Amino acid sequence: MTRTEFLGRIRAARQHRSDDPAPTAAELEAARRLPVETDCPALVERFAAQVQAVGMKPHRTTAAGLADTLAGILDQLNARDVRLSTQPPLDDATVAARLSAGGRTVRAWQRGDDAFGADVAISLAAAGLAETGSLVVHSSPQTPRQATLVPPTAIVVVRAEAIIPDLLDALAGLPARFAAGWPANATLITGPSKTSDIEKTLVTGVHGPGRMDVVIVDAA
Amino acid sequence: MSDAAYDFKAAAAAAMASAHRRQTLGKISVKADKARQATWSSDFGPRIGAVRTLAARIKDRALARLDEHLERFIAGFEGRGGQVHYAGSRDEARAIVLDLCRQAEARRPVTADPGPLRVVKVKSMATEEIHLNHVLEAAGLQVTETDLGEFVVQVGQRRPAHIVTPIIDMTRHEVSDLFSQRLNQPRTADPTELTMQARRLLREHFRAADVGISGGNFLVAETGTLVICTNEGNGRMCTTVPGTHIAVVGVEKVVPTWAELAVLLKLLARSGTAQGLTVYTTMVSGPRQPGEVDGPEQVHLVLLDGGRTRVLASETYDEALRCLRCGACLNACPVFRQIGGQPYGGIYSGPIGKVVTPLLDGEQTYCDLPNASSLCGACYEACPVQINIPHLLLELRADQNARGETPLAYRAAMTLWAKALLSPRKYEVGQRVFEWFFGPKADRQGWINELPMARGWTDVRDFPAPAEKSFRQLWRETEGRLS
Repeated sequence: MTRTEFLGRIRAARQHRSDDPAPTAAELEAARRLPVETDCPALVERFAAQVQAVGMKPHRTTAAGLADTLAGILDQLNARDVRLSTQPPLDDATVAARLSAGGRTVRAWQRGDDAFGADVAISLAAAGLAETGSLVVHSSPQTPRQATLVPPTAIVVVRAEAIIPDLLDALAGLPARFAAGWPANATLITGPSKTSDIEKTLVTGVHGPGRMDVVIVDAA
Repeated sequence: MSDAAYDFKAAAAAAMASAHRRQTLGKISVKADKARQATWSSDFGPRIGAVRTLAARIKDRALARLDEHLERFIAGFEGRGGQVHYAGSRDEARAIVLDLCRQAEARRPVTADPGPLRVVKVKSMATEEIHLNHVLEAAGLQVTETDLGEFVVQVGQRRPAHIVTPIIDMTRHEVSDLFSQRLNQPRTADPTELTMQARRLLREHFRAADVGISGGNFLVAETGTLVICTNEGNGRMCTTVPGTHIAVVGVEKVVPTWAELAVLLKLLARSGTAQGLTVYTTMVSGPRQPGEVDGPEQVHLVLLDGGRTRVLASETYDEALRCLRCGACLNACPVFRQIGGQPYGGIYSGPIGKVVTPLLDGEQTYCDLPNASSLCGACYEACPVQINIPHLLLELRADQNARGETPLAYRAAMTLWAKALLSPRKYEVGQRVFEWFFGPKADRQGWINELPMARGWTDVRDFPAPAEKSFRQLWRETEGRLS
């Protein structure tokens, strides 16, 4: 069918329906999740609690302590092959140097890279969502879709000031956030990959990472 | 009733044969239904009614100007390099997808023996609706379902038993039997190990795949973005690794703005699986951009009508198009809890399936579905977008009656019943006749075990025997004091 035929048929079919204006911002507020947190420390606390509740591991650090926090997680995992997104604050040369200590392979993503053999990928989230403990990530030349998908563990860094209260704020804010260019792929991540298809038993790490570490960087 | 009518009653009876299966199904659905109620109330409190009304309004508003929202979607999606295709019918949708796969095949690098084109699939109701796998396999393509439940369904050549949890009717042992017999995996009774067996097998499929096929939960008109909700990560794999991504999406999935999408997303996972959001909410706005490391070079969206405009044109049934496919009404339904999803015959099961399957697949063929309900209203209570399913079932029944498809005896009985109810005198005569005829048939506990004109009903229930004196008699004798 051509586009004109296709849309024409729909237009004819919906004639009897009356138009309804878009809900106002005040009307949308009904969908805000309870309780509503607004001040920053409470928001970060709430985010960390929700991250934990959905099965990810929250960590709190500062810009100065970031490299040590990340190295600590990699040591614990005994990770040998690590991919690092080169976005601030992760692009700092001291971070890569600290993480490579002990002969660990740490490298930036390259075109056509396939991370099926990598142990861990470290990337940056554009935002965190206190309502659900979700991370907002999107594809870019520095951070491929694979970073939070293919390796068995994903470590995602999020700045405390990038934590948003509610999905309403996050999605309504997307057009402004991406005004300069919409990313080909953006994803809200809420927990490790999971299924309960077999007898409703929860199993993590089905296709995506079984372990997700969320490193919250507080403003110094 | 037409000759080709689907035999729902036989299928339902067969499904109910196993008491163990019924208990398991009942337990799981009751638990899921309670979890939904708990999440609704903890997260929205007394506002939940207002949120559902808002969600229903958003869907209605999207449908009211559906063509205009679609146009906006298309402009945004194509503006970033995505390609949109228009499938008026299921046949057309299948032909478009097959043709896109053939094009992907032609783009493969020339090697001595490239083998069949490898397709990985995300669980999608729209692709099941058009019976896509069958056509692609018949054309020689290798198609792999990658959602764990759907993978088991495919390996076992079964039918999905639930919109959200396709193997709700299988035990871990049955899954292991299947994996060991068909896929040569070691036997295990551990769901984690079974899942890891599937993970290892499916990873190889993802790496080798040429084409990823998905459905879509929403189309955001504001920017031309396709939204896919999954938990396992297979949806992201299928939209990341293969060079071509094809999405098949029903036209009713359009949402005008991102703010409105937030309201629907908030309800979708909470209603379906009591999660705040599904683990992955993937937002695809186009193919791989310059400089990006991964992602498909081509992204195609096949918009599916497939009978939806017919439903949209109806002033009665159009509200069925609000459905988010969350599965909450299935979990709440006393009929579904007994029979599971397979007996419904169509792709959509449970209460919403009783409405959608007749509307999309033929009212004559699926004539039993609207009648397989006690109209208890649990589905209406559970629906996040307030689809009045009991009302729609009544309308479908009324249509059957108007077309003269209900049995003659049933119509005669109902005509008599209506006449009796309209006149106090006739009602009393009817009552006397019933008393005279059936009173003596009651057992000592005061139950009638069999009503000859309603055997189907009394096969599994007893009917209370008439009281010694009717309310009217008692009223007359005691002059309204009743004692």
